[in-house]
Amino acid sequence: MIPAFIAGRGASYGRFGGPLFVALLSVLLIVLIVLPVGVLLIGSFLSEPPRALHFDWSGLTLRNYTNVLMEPGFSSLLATTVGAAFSGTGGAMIIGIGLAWLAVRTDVPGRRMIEAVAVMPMFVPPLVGAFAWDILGSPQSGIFNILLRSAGLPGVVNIYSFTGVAFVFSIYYAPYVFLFVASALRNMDASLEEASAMSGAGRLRTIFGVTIPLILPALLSSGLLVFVLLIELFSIPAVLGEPGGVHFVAVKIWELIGFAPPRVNQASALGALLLVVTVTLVLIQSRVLAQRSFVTVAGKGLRPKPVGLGGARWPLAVVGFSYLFAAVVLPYAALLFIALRKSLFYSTVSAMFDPRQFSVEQFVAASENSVIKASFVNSLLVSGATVVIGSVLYFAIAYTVHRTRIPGRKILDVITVLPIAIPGIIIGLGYLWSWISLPIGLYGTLWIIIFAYVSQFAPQGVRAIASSLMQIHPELEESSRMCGAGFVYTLRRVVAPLAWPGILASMTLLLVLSFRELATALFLYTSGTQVFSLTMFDFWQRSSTSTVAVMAIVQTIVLLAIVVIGQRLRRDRGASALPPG
Amino acid sequence: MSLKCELKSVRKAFGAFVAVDDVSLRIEDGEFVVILGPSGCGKTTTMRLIAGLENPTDGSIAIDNRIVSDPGRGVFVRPERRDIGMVFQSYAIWPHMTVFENVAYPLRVRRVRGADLSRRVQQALEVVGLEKELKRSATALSGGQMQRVALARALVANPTLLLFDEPLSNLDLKLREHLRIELKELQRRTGLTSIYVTHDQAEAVELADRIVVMDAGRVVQVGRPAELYARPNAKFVAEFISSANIFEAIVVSQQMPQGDTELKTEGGRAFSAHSDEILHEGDRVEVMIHPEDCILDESDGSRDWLHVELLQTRYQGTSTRYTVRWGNAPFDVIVQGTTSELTEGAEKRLRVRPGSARVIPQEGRRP
Repeated sequence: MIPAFIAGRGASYGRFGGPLFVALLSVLLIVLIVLPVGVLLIGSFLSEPPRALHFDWSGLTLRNYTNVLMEPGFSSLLATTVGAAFSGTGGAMIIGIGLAWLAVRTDVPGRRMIEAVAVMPMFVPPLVGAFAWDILGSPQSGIFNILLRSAGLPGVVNIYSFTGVAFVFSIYYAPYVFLFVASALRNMDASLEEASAMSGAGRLRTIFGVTIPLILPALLSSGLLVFVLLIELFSIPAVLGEPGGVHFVAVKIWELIGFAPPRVNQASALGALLLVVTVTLVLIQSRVLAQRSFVTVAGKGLRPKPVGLGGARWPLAVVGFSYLFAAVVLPYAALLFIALRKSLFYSTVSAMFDPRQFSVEQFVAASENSVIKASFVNSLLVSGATVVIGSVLYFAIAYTVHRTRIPGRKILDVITVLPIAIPGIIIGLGYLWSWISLPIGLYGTLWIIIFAYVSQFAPQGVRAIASSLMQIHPELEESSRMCGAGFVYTLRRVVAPLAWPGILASMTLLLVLSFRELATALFLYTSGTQVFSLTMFDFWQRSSTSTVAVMAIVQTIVLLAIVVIGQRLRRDRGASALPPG
Repeated sequence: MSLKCELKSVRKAFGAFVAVDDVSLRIEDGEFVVILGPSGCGKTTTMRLIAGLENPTDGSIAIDNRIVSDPGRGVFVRPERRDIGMVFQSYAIWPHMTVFENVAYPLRVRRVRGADLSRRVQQALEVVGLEKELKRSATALSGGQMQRVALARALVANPTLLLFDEPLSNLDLKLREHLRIELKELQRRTGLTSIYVTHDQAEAVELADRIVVMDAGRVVQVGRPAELYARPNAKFVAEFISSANIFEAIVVSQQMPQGDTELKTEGGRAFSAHSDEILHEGDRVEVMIHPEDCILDESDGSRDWLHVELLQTRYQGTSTRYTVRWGNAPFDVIVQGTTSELTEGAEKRLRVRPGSARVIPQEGRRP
């Protein structure tokens, strides 16, 4: 419950009440976010795992780091992780920029469609995308290779490779670049470019002299964002890298703990190194983003005239749509194909499409599998609780930071954004260390996963709510106070209804993120608390490809349902605000 | 008349920045007071301090003889307990409510229900001429209509004090002039004590019983609009409230107690002006002459007419602003009327109406 001492922008919270509330929230955030990572960092310098937050300082050592750095494969591990992330980012930027330019600035046929299409792969969880490309491109049984071989050609497609991983990285992270660049291009005042033309500059000169410098911050910051996300990514490397002997840092951390004997301290050292890299990159990104004010694009001018593509219109449209084909259509076709086939043994095209081989048996079997059912329920519970706890906490933080002047509120803002730079796998590891042996019984329950998720998604959740709060003019709140309404009444009658679309968006996002999350939960489950993504990953490790395909489709359907319902609710809300009749 | 609202040595600092510095004000019951000043002068903060949307750093504020803010004694009455109606610059009409619900809000908070509620909302909307728009969504209103809804909402609960924070600044000129008249009329009818913040001197002069001119967080002058025009107590007031000619002059002689002062300028102007303070020969002072107090014509040969050369003509529709060279420096004259005949470079005769030149009290030796 938020106490009644917080006024609008004004200062009518009590002398102690406001600061006390901020102190309370700060402590909560420190326990949720700072403590686990702190324990992990300390642990990386100790020889024994900590027990119940009790550290054995006598074992202070740098050996974990030297072990990590001296291990024979370390340099190639590092090179692969950074190299694949770099290549993936490059690919994502080429796709994202290309699509953004096509959709926003050209007369390509179906540009509206391309705009919708370009963000669709965001709804494909990376784990599901990885499974699908495993089915499509694995060297032995991949569909591509079977097709090639049956056509008498050598089966040369190998997704279990550096190139394969980088390719899958590119297609699933291109939408992030697209969103940044498309909005920069769209909001740019056309008169800036027209002024360049009127000054006598040609089209190329304008592009390189005006357009690109103006969208450069958007390009750089989206590139850095994708780079960070790819460096810390677990799912795609685990599914597509490991089988081909291509090793990644996130997967290595998991192996250090998951394979006996667990080397927790060494895993922490590796995690700490990963953290240094991601924190550095996020700091650079925020610096780039801070310059953005200079691009600030009035949005008042007319939209620029689309570039005429002439004869290249249709070929470029085909290129644009083929991206959707590679990122969404083909993968889901493959998943559906495997999910519906009784037997996975086929070697010719005619055997592949033998209608007698298709049935919904796998779906029925999966729905009867107690492990799958239990983990599905667990995922629903975890996501639901994450949304409820997260929304209340994030709203309290967003409101305090953006709508009050309580001293110390900036601390909340700073702690809340930290998880942007903390890989999910590190949060998970930190939670494991912090809570495994504390006698409060958190470990082994769903709560530890819920708390880890609430921490992990705090930046996105708070940002979504904050942006909707910031759109509410402070005077809307102040006028309620002047009408004689108290803080709680104002919150209920004015702030909550107006912020509702943003809160709903944040809730939808939280549901999606927590339902599909894998890396954060990797170290936090026990036999009874497995979540859906983990079960899927488990079945994949046991090579139950059909079950994995079924589960991937089910997960996608659930995610789609969440997004559609969320949008429907928002639209209803929006409609009721319009004049009747 | 009784005292409605009193500010005593009020100060408000945001960190190192002092927004309001030692402001004292006494506002009588039924008065329409306009706080006027450039942006950043502290006028809005002063109003927000009265509203209770800000807590002063020092000083005290009383409404109806009840202390509502006094940090020294730990008194702070929350805004919702001050019984003040306020019209905001952005109107602050809640987009998720209808016109009726917006206006009904202060009453609902005060637990007014049923027929009484509808009747009072209806009345408030009649006052602002919006009684037919009850069920409209607030987002479907024009700027002027929103302003009226905001006014009805501020009035509906019979507040003791009405605050206006630049309420007309987002409207176009015609509507602004129209609403200004309505607002003044409404205040006269209801007799509600009103405090109005604006940076628009024309608005202030038209609306105010008294104007409070602020600059850099301080009150510079308080007075009736005509007083501020005729007897500004600082160069800032003279400059801000009008577009007067202000220039430096040297005292030649002074006759006290009448205050008639003979002055000259380095450019060669020689004239007489009124001064409230005692001056000595050779004192450098600042003199104000309103361009409206001058006459520009062909010569009739009489002695008080000065020879000037016309430098620039700016036609402004209902008047023309002429810049002439008087004693080697430019000087502005405004001639009313929709015609503008004088051509630049022509020789003219200038006459300053007796008693209209005034010595501005200098900073630091203000009487």
